[in-house]
Amino acid sequence: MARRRNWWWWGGLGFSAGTLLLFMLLPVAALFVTLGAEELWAGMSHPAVAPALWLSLKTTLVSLGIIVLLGTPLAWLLGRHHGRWSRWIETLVRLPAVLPPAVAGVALLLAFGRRGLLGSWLAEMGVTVAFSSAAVVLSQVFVAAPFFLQSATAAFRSLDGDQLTVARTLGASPARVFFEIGLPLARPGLIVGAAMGWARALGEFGATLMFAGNLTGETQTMTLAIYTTFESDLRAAQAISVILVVVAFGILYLLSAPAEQLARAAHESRD
Amino acid sequence: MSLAIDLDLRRGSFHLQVALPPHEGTTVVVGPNGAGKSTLLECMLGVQRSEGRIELGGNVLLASEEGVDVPPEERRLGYVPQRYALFRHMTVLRNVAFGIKGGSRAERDDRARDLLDELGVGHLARRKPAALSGGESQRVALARALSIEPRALLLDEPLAALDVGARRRVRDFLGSRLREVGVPTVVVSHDLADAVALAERVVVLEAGRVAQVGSLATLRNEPASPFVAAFFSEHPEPAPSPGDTGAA
Repeated sequence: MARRRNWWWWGGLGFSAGTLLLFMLLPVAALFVTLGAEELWAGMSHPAVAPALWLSLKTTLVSLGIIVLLGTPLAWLLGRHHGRWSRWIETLVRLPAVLPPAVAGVALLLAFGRRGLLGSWLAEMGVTVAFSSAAVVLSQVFVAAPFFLQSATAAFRSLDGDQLTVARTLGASPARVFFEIGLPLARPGLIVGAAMGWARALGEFGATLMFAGNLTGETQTMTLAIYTTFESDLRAAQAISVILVVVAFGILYLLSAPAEQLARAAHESRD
Repeated sequence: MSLAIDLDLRRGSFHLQVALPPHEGTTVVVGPNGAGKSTLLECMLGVQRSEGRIELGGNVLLASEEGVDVPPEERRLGYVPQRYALFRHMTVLRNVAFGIKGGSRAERDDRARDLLDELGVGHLARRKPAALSGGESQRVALARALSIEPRALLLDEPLAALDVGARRRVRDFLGSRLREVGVPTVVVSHDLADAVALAERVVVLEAGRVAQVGSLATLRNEPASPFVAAFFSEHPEPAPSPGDTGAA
């Protein structure tokens, strides 16, 4: 009885949820169902694909390393210390995540390009950054760092301050507190941040195109290879897309575990 | 060893000003929420910067006029925070061994085991903190605080997180334990009932100032503030307890 009386509620809920779900599923499904195994293989053997795969893997891993190594101390500072400038700095480090990629490209060129702020100085010393693999890494670090920083900062901030204080009273230096208490307790948040940052770096397109260019084997990452092959050989574009979708799905699926761990950890520290 | 405190701290509109003459036994600092009790502990621990002087036996922990401000890791103060703050990624044994210095790892672990045994929780050594009850957590936290052979003990609301049944037991346990340990102890509580069990000296802190210092008898007979008077009018004849006998 009650169910029949609420049919408009359940019906409306199902309809709206189903419509959006279908809309989001359809493009992803299209990537897979319109491509046979043979075509996938043909696409994969396109000469642009292998170098792009390799370059993407190399550059994103270097970027991730830079982000985690330099970002973890910054996140610790932002999460555990509150100074007059905290809010400004936090806003600043989030900025690249919401900036249009084209803006990021222009900004990077003006900073590191041959006539840029730092770039002109580097050029005098014979170092050219723009339109090289290094430029790919810089673009990725610039746009992906905020994803790591946000998650890592939140993880450090949510630590129980009393545990850190107790560790100090037990004779631990600030460094030991960081390595033995702070880092292990914040690990789930750091892992989530690193994975999100890596996914963002892998998907980087606009800033790379403007600042690093589109040279096969040197600056042509997977997303740029999609862009290039899209007109000449759709199967190659599609093959790379399939790889990226599988990787992205894999990351999100694996991350759901640390996310649960995070929720459990938060629960424990509240008890 | 005796503990003498003279502290001054301003944070925005909050002003904490506490001067306590040297005392060797247990001091219970009571006061309503927001009186500055936890801030006082943080200043003593050295995690909150303040002006003034803290002296413990012959050791000067803070003397802002002489530019002395010993960092928290060198003050050797055993601290048990309100919710015990056990390191939840470590076993009970690793929690207690964390602060033990010198010797091999096996020797440090043995020392930690001894401490846990002394406090009657040796059987919990391999558990993680999440699997402990409130009373057990507190004993482990106390063992951990004692592991550094502290010059003094600081306990923040040691009973607040416990249910009523555990509270009475732990209160008695703490009372006898603290006397055995024999270092100056400061216990912070919002409940004067804790002072009845634990204190030789009671400090009433209100809005950052010391409203009254004295034994329980003094407080009962000559309450200097409405907070104190209200407590004793609700508890006209508090049951005598071990902590009360030391009052003078």
